[in-house]
Amino acid sequence: MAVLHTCVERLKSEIDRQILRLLRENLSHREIGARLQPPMKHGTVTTRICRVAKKLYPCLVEHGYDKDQAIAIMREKGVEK
Amino acid sequence: MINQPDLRLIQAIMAATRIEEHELDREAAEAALGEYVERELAGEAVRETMPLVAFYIATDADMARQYAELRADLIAFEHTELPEIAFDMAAAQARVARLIEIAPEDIVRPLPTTPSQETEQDYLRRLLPVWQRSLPVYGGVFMSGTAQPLLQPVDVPDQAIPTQMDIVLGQHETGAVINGRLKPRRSDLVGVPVRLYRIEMQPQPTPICVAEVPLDRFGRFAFEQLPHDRYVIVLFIEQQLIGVMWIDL
Repeated sequence: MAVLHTCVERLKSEIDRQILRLLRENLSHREIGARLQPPMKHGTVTTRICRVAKKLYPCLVEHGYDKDQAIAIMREKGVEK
Repeated sequence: MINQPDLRLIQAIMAATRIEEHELDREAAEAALGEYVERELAGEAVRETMPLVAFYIATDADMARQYAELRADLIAFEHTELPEIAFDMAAAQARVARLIEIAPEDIVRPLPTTPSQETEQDYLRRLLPVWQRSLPVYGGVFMSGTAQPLLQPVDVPDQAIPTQMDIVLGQHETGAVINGRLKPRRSDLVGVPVRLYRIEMQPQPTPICVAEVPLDRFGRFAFEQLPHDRYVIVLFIEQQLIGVMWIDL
């Protein structure tokens, strides 16, 4: 999903991008925290993921995804943009 | 098609827009996981109505695993028809371990003398209100202090870890309550029937099934509104009588 990747690459924080890369590996928050350098507590990882996810939403909207479309993507699992 | 990591990230993004940072309570999310699955299977758009749980499922592999396990359990349970099982009194008698025993550390004062079993049962009944006042409360009924006297080993087939049935007795205005839990929890035992038989002693011991409940996905079961009587709790697995516990209420 190109738009999503574009939005991720736009993130200024390298740590945020690193967290999202680890998120793609299907790890727990605790495991993500342990793999970061320096390591981060899992609660901090949770908060950070939430913040990053919130940052990504406006970017998706900017690229033409509104809330309904995002929900439709989740439900249909097959819309490419 | 969207690949799985992208889909999870989109789900996390959508969930995150609906929660505040101070709401990121993992324990609360875990506690609501069962309700999330039930409501999801009932057709509710839970990602929108329960965004905290959705967020953790989308972003934390541990929570995603628990979610998948619970969901599979519940789906399997919904498609399982409980078999009709006859009570085998001989097998039950063969497996009877003992009456409920009382350990000194579980009561407010030590027993003055070694009591007979009947005295123990009577004493146990009289201890119920004391325990209700002094022991930790869980789900409206009290827990045994060490739980030791009410733990009953259960011979679960193909189980390397010892399994026990933990029974908690309570007393409500409407009658006695038995809350039980199989420890450790096993997903393959969801829906296994637990039957409560009242034992009619005269003219000869006769078990009369008064209730049957399935083990829930947390390994729990409960019987309520029970009049004082003698009971036996029986756990069936694959139509085999597995665990038996006699209780005098």
